[in-house]
Amino acid sequence: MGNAAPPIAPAPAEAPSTAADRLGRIAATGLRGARPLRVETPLAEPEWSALLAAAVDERVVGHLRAAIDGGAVAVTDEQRRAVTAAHERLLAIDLVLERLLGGVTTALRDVGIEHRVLKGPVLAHTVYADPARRSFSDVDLLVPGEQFDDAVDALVGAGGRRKFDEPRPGFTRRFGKGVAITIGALDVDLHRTLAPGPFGLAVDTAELFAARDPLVARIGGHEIVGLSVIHAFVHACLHAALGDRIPRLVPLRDVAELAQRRKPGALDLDAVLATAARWRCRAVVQRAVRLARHALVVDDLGPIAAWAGEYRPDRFERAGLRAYVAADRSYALQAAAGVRAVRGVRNRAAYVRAMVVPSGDYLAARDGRYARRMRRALGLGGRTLR
Amino acid sequence: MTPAAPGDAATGGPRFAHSPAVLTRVTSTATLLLTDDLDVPARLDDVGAAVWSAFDPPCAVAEVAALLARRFDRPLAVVEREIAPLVADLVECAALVATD
Repeated sequence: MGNAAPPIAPAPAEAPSTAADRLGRIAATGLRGARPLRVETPLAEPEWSALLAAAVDERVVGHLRAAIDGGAVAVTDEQRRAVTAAHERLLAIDLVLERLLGGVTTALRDVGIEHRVLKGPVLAHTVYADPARRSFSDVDLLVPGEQFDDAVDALVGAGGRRKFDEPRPGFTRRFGKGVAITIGALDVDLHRTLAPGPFGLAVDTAELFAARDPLVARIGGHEIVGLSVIHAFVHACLHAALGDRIPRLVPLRDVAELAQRRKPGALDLDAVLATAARWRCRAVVQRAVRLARHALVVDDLGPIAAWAGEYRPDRFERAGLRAYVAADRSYALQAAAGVRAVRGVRNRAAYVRAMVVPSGDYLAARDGRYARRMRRALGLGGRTLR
Repeated sequence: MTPAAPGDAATGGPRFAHSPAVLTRVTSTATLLLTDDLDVPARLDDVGAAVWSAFDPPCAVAEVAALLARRFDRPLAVVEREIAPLVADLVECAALVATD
């Protein structure tokens, strides 16, 4: 692959439709430099219902409500009531998840497992001006790899159920992103690292726990400890740029919120870039910043926006990004691309063995057929080794 | 625990505060709150939210009634009577806790 074309998805491929453009501008409500949409007269059906459904799906109803309350979006009384009801439903879920978070963090603390809370709750309470603007759908926790299996046991002991088996026993604590644990009807995502595939494998997870200035929130009487601002920003970029083939608005808004933080606690560009360089993910930060500017139609993302306009990704980054943003994006492709990020020959061999020869339980739960997986792995192996 | 009877504040009746364990979200039209004693979040409308917010900082029920009577220009006795059931519910679900 040449060095000329940065692997940022070209604008036409991810260019929003008119409805997506409107929702993006709504999701940017309150950001500096945002160009909010003006809806002078209430939308008619079916346009209105589509907008509200999309806002619920993207969990940006709080921003829609703020846009309505601020006079940027005209609505009928009935539409206002529908938005209020939808917002309150999301907020009710947030509260139930925060209660679960308190119980889960207590369960981990009681057995001496270090952890950091990721994304939703901690950002809602420490980065956003109003937590009612940042809804979430699950609880995300990071635990050290060496304590990962103990953390799973603790949550299973607290009534949780692991959703998927591992490719091989011990795989997740060494190489995996994490596992999902279902507790009641709610999900706890237990992370070992911040992303699947090569960029997750390249993260120095010990650094995440060593940070001296984590974001800390008091939620329901519990002290909730998150990542540092720098790490939270890079994580938001990983989530925004790699999490879904069509980027979601909430992580993009997280990127923008963190980029626009003012002193004290303002984002330190040099520290972000140094961290991203160590974790070999500067191209991911670049992609996330560019996506945020594009999707949210916001001009002022600070000095990192200028950097993102000029950075040239290296070979590892270009190959890595392809596993997440290509049309044939898949877990298997990311897993194969991850080989290059695993440090050490023995570790690499163990990683490949787990990918190519997974346990029978794992196959039964996921792919079902060894032969199909073998064919896929061999094909991907050829692509990776080229 | 039951809330203080109206007028207790003047004689040093108990004061109530938001429980540190309560989870809340505040919007322009409502306050949602959740405690361990509730199955699902409770919704307070604008009046209920005014009562709830009046207990921060900690207050006696009679003090809150007096505050709200002034704010909404309503007779004190009426406000005391109207807020009593809500305060009782908030205490019962452990959203409000006695501080004395």
